[in-house]
Amino acid sequence: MSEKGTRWIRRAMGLILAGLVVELISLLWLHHPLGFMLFAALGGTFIVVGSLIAVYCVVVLIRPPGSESAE
Amino acid sequence: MVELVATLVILTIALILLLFLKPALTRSQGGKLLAVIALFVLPFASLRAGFRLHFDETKTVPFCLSCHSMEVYGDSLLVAGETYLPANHFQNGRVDRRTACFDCHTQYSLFGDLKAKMVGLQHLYVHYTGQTPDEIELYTPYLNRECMYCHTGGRRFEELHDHDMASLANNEISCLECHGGRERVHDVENVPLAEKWIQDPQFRGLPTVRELLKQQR
Repeated sequence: MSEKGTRWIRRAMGLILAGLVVELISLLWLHHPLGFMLFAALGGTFIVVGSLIAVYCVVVLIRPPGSESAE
Repeated sequence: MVELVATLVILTIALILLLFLKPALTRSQGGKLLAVIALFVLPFASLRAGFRLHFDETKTVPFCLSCHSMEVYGDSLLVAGETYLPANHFQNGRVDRRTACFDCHTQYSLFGDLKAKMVGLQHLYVHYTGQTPDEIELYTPYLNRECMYCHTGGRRFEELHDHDMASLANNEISCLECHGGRERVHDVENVPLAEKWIQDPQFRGLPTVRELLKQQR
């Protein structure tokens, strides 16, 4: 994988991790509306965006084996 | 359920950290599969499970009463008067005690739960922008549909009273005109001084509003 692809995958992982941590924190605040808002607005957004970036990396940035040597 | 979701989230975090620290794992076929599971399958499963958990929690009495302005409405469920509509339903098990507020204040229509939650977002905005009125009223009149969802077909409803079903269905007459009084269903002004029903501790283990409030997750 190219360096660019590696960087973007790491960013995607970081975003997904952040979203999961936010979700974990929101579980401590289950009875409160702000807990739900924290989960939905922040946690959900991070996880979805992170996963989309990961998809982008896999589909666009990662080249099949042998393509780099051919070029 | 909370423990299950927390376990799923922690497992996902652990797997992603593993891949973050040891990216060489993804060189093998098994490692690639692990990456797919860790970056797509498990995060979305966690998201789905967390959303389900939170969404179900938004229907509970403790959730509704977490706002200070709603506490007196929770207390109205404990009033001892037999003709007191919310208390009558709550104390006699006519609504699920855990979701007593939501059972009456949802909308029994297509996507009704979702619509009710959108109204909840409006409550949230009003509350946190300091616009809570001194006298809280429903945004729209209470529809008979919400009463009839449970009561239609019930023996007491069908036999004891001569209900004009057409008028009720069209909301020409409100159920609350005869039952509870349209303007005073919760009667919050008189709740603090009203006699309260003290639940027998042996009463089949059903929770009181106070016990629901005390639940810690």
